[in-house]
Amino acid sequence: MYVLAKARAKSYLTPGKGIEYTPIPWKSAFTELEQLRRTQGIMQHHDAITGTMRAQVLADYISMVSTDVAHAEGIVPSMVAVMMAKAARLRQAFESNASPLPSYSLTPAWKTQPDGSKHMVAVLYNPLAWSSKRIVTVTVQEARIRVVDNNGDEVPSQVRDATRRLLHMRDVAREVWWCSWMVFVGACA
Amino acid sequence: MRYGTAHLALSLCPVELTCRSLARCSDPGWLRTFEEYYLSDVSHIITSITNALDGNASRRFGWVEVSYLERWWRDQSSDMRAKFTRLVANGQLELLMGGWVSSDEATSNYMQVVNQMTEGHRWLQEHFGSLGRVSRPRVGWQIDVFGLSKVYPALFSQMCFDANAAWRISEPEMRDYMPLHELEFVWRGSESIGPASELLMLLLPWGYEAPKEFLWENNNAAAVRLTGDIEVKNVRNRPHCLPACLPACLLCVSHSLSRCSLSLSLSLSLSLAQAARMLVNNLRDRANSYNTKQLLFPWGHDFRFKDAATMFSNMDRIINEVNSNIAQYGVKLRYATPVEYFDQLNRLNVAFPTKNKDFFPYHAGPVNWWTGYYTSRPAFKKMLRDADHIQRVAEVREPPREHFHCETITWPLTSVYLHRHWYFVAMDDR
Repeated sequence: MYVLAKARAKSYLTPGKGIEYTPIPWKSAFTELEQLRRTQGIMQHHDAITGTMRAQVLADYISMVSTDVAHAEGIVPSMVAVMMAKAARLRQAFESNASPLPSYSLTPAWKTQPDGSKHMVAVLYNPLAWSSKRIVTVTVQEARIRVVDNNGDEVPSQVRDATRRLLHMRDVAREVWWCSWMVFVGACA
Repeated sequence: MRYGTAHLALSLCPVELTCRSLARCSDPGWLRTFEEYYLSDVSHIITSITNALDGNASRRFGWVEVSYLERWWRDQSSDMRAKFTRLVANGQLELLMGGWVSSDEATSNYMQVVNQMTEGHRWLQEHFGSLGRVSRPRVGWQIDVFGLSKVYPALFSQMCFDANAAWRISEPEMRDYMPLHELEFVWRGSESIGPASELLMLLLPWGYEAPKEFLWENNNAAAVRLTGDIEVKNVRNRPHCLPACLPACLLCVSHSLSRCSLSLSLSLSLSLAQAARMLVNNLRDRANSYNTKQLLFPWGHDFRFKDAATMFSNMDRIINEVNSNIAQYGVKLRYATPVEYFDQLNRLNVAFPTKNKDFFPYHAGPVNWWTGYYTSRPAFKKMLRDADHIQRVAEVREPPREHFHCETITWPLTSVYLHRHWYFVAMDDR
């Protein structure tokens, strides 16, 4: 299903065939999405989505939702373009053994601290309705790396494929709760 | 089962109990639109409350909807913001629940409930996070939703809440609970999650509305009788003797407003005694249905406390009257917040019954079943579901490119940062 959806999305982006879109800067997209989130928040109110409001209030709600959804719909094509570009660049990066996607990707960026040390942050999110514990794999740029969780406790890990610069994190120390997350920090050993 | 083991026993600091004050939510749209309510009521309420609490350390207040707080915050000067922040820091102003709104429990969906709580808490963390523990709401306040879903204790317990409060469950059921002292119970939200989904629940059979005689504003017809020499109606018919078994009755204050200041004069001690007696009798009736000698009494109503100074000054006098004659009245009053109440309850180490059911449908009377709203305005409900889909696609799929170059990422990471990084999911089940 994902492949079909991706193919369809790609066809949308074909010049002359698909929809026309203008890339939207992230900051303005962020602002618009934040506004939609807040409007959607108001809609969960017990006199909104319930339908127990007065007619003029309903009209106001519809106006708010329509405006913000229209902005979000304008963002979606740009999102699809980014996804497609990302997939292509990611594949290219793997094939050429180059550092994949220095600006954004599945590779967490390295941060240089004031003392000169470097670290990367990876967030592991569990979208399931139950806790989960399993081995995860994160692409890294440094092979010599020490991984700790957000409590500072070391997480056992090993490099699975140094050629591709993959870090294979195994035996995650703690379960990730449902709909929750934990943060890993990798620092140069 | 003891309610405190999983939730309330979380590193709570002892609180000196004296008096309680708490709030009722302001609807972000109902009879009037969000902006109309803000301009006509809410902006004045928050400003009025901030001024009334400042410099009066005993007074308390609780605020629920972050959507209105964010709207008010935008209009305020740095001085007013600093004053509000001080009140949050010293515990006089409690941030309740922390959701963008008080969400419906029947027709909303899981994703949006989590989203609106995330958005509210994110805003609170951005503006009050430096204050530490007080910036993190610990008590839910779902006192006006039309029926209760056990999804909420499951969610709230996972959000590290200590307790939740509500009003609207089936009235016959509520009446059954009262003689059994089951208005407070441990609510298990999920059998699969187990004890981690349990939350202490407080039911308020009298709702969030205080007796009208004690709402001195908004041109309240009942309060108008409380003028001059305070000839309070019905006081003469009330028994004057009180049981000695109510040593610490706790009074909660809610937000509300007043269109005209009645400036109730409580100068006559006799009339003051009558008002105090009336309030105490009301509290005694309520306390009989609870397990402990502590009572949470919500003082307020919809959109009240626009004239908070009048409200508080009148109630201050009644509280002083009662506390000056504890032997006579048999109770002790003080303003307090829900967190203070639940902290006190936790210290009492009381065992509460456990329930694991939904409270649907809401049954408000013999022919008053709240089931129509499950399907009313279906086009609007459909519109919101469609909006959910658009939001999901637009929001989740875009990695925040600039974030990875940003050197100002804070630690711990904010929820919005996480929300936009969920694509880091390395698990296979997405």
